[in-house]
Formats: sequence, C-alpha cells, structure tokens
Amino acid sequence: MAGGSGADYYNLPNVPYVMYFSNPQVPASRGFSLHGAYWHNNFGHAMSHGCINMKETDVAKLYDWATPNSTGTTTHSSIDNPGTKITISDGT
Amino acid sequence: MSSSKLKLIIALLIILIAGVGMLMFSQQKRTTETRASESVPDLLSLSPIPVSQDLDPEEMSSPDGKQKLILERQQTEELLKYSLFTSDESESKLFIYSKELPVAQAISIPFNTWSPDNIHFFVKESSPEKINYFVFLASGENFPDNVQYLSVQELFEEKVEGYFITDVTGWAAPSLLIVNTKENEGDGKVSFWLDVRSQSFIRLGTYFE
Repeated sequence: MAGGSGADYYNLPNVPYVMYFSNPQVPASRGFSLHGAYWHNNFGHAMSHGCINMKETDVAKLYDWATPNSTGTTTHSSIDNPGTKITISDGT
Repeated sequence: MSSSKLKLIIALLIILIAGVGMLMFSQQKRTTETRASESVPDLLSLSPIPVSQDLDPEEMSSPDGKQKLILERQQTEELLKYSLFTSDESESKLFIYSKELPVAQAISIPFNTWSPDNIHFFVKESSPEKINYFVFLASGENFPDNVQYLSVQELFEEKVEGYFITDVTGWAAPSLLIVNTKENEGDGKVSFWLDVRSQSFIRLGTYFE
C-alpha cells in the first residue's frame, strides 16, 4: 500500500486484511479501506488520511465476518456476493 | 406425717426453689446480653474484613496475539499491590515488576500498551497530583544501562524544557512512543516521539490528537 506525496509519502508492504469501501461521494479510486496496521500501535488516534487502521488480531476477526466472502487474492462485491454495509460516524 | 414424707417434701421444695432461682438467673443473663448487643455493632452480620483481597486482573494482548500483559492487583487495608507479568502461548507467567501504592494512586494498562514489534510495553501510573508512564521490556530484561524501566516523566524533565506531559497515547513505530505535551506558559500543544532505544525525544511538527 503506497500513497501520499512529499513528507506524507508512504509505502507499506504486505498490509493485511484490506477491506475497501466506497459510496457515490467517495469513489473506490480514493483507496479508503479498513485494514490491519503492523507498523504502529496508536489506535483510537488519527494515524491515516482516511483509512481505518486496526489491530491485526481484531481486523482478522472482522475480515472473517464481513462480506463479500473471499474467493481469492482480490474479491469484489457482486449481487451474488454482496459487501457488508459500512456506516462511518464522525464521532459527534 | 412421717419423717420420710417430710424429707421428701423438703427435698421437693429445695428442687423447686433451685429451679426458680436458675430460671431467674438465666433470664437476667439473657437480658444483659441483649443490652450488650444493643450497645455494640452486630459483628456477626458484618462481612469479615480480609487481610488482603485479590482484585480482577487487567490483561492486554500483544499485536501479534502471542503474548499477554497481565496486571494483578491485591488490596490490603491501606495499599494496593500491583504486579506485572507477561505470558506467552504456553500461559506460563513471567514476573516483570511489582509496586505497592496508596489506594488514591493506580497503575493501569493503556489500550495501546504494546509496541508494534511486541518487545516493549508501557503502563500508566496516576495519582490526583501527577501522571507518569513507565516503559518495560516484555522479556523481563533490563535496558542497556541496566535500568529495569524507563520513567517517561523523568526522562522528559531531564531532556526537554518548557513543556509538560499531558498524555502518552501509544506507539508510532516499534521503538517510538508518542508523548503529547503542552507548554508550561501558554496553550501550545506539541507531540514528541520518545525513542526508547536511544532514550531521546524527537519534537514533531504534527500534534497527535
């Protein structure tokens, strides 16, 4: 997973349990996802420009629970294998 | 009346008088006990006060899920004894550290206690007057300069001027602890990294909310 630019550039290989999400206002091309983060342990505090970082042990359980059911390296949601609805709150 | 009948009557009278006397004595004694029990707390109805009591331990799993940090607490009348252990998948506990504190002070395990590489952890010690954070090696070994733990507060006071610690939120990287501070004079907020390997502070341009 790589992105950003300048001082914000990042390149983090082997990010585990990536679950992309999107809606009409936030297209999939933005690359926002829930995923494990092995490089820090500062959860509950802003550590990303849009992704939701989780402990690997926690995200593994969520990944197994959520849909679409994985059928390979990359699985897109479909009518037959729909994705789990995600609601994001700003915490207010 | 024959003398034998007279003796029998006398004996019966003696037994009767003795019985009445014992009955009156026991009644008086019961009354005294009742009065006594009214004037002192009913000790039998109070819970017994143990010499020490084990409270529920706190636990936090390491990021790889292979270790646990365990904080056991034992309460005596005036103190709480805190004992830190780590355990691996074999569930055998490794003693790390123990400390007794007055009940107004407490040691706790923050959610982000473990370093991402599962080598270090930090705990919080709080009292009404101050908060401090201590970093340990999960292996139970000492730091290179043979100290058992790093006192974040002491290191900060020694190496940084003009700020005081408000919070330690977690780890930015395997050896970098995030330390939030405020200016001693003013409202400016600054985050630092404490590099636990070099025991030095790195001032950041971004404040970690």
